[in-house]
Amino acid sequence: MTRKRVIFLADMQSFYASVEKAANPAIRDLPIVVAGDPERRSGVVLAACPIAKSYGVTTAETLWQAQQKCRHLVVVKPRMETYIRVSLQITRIFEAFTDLVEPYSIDEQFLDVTGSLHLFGGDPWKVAKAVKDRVWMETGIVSRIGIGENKVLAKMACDNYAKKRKEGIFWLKKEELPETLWQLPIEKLFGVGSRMKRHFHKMGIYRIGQLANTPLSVLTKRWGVNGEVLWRTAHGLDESPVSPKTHETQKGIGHHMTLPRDYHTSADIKVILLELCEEVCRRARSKRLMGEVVSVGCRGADFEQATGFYRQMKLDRPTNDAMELYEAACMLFDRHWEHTPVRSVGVHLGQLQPDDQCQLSLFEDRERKRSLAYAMDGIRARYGNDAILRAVSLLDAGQARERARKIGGHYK
Amino acid sequence: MSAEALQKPVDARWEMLRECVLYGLLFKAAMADWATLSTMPLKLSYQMLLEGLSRFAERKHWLLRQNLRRQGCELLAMRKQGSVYCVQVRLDGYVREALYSIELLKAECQERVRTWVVEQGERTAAGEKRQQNRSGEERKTS
Repeated sequence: MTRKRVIFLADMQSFYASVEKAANPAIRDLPIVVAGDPERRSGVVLAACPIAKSYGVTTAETLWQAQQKCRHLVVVKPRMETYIRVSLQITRIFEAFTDLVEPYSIDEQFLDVTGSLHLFGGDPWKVAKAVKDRVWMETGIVSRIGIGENKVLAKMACDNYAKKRKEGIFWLKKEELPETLWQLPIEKLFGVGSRMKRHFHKMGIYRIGQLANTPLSVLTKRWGVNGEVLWRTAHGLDESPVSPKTHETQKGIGHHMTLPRDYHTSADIKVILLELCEEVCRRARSKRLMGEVVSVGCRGADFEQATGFYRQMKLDRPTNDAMELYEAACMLFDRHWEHTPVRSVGVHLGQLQPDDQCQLSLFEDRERKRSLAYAMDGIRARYGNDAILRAVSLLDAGQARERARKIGGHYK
Repeated sequence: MSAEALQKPVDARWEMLRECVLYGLLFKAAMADWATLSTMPLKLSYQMLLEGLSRFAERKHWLLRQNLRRQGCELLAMRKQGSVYCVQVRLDGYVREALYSIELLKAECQERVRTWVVEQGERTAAGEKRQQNRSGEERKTS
């Protein structure tokens, strides 16, 4: 019989806002949000502290809406580099408890403490508390910990229980699922979003317990493998390991941009496509990779009423050259764009392979292009992303100069 | 583990260690600031203030360090590592590492300075009040 694993999912409370509060005692007792650009009153709320949340401020709402709910709201500009640094610091703190730490997002990490539990007293509650204490004392951030025998149970323990408890720790046991998880509404199941919730409601499934008691064949017939995954999640079944190297194997490189306004003309959108292709290829080159499948996605401003497309095509040969990728992206765009306003654009390069072998061409000097691209990357790495720009980026439609000051669309 | 037990820290020595590190940094920072200020042409001297703060923090630091040692926790090394302050300790025979965010340490030092200033102010006010009471009583008896 295999030994039960002990997995933690540690989640940081209002991560960005907590980092700001830890760094500035003057705002510790005030309602704060970390949001877009406070001077321009633009952007959305990236994180709201618990005091701000008590006024009804929610994450992802627009800044002006948040300010209407709470008149004396303190707005702090995001510092993405600092948040990434603190996240890495927290990973190092976790590594004092186990070598199996898997970052799930910037503020959530899985820990497999099965092997090291006995070193810290053997009681999962105590170890979770010790982890929580260390994070608080060394970063000033409150964390919540979900405990389970696998990753999905730990995640659901954290989201559905630990976050709502004063002590911030909850152990979701598989043998107690009928009394705990199965009583919750279906949307509380990990992997069920608003669309899936609607599908389940149409089937008469409102609670997680009802899904767990639905025959597996019914679900697989309707949703294939995804149906089986949801059924297994409802039963607390998951064998996936906590793997620290999960982010090292890359299947694709993509970049996506939400635009500050609607773009209406093909010329304007193509400026953004070129900038995205540049960024995707720069990242591919930095990992010495090239890709064979290009995907392009465009969406309109109204995300409820989905307009736009997401299409892909295979290239004649693998590439990490921006202009080659751009040509393919334009081909996809011209073929599928229905002249609707565009608010967000994405480019993705898939089927990656090492770039140390390539097919030579009789008609063009690929080697010259390649060395030029690497030379440009070197300059950008040394002097910043806006050290070399394409001339089109200086047009009104261009976003490259503004994006050079940001990480993931938010200020560094 | 009960909900009440979960409110308290599992090992209070980590909390004491943080205080010790904070006061250790504070007494050094106060003297470093004094060294900077002493080269500037100022209207007033802040020597007494900063020396007082540094003396208070140093005394606290050593007291905490002594208490920690008594409880089986010995400070081995402290060094800056990029954006974190790395503190190595020997805890019950095992070498452990605490990684403090420098931003947090700075903010917490600032809080301790504020508390110290408030306490000093209260102590001065209490002293003045005692002095007034004493002189009032003397006047009555005369």
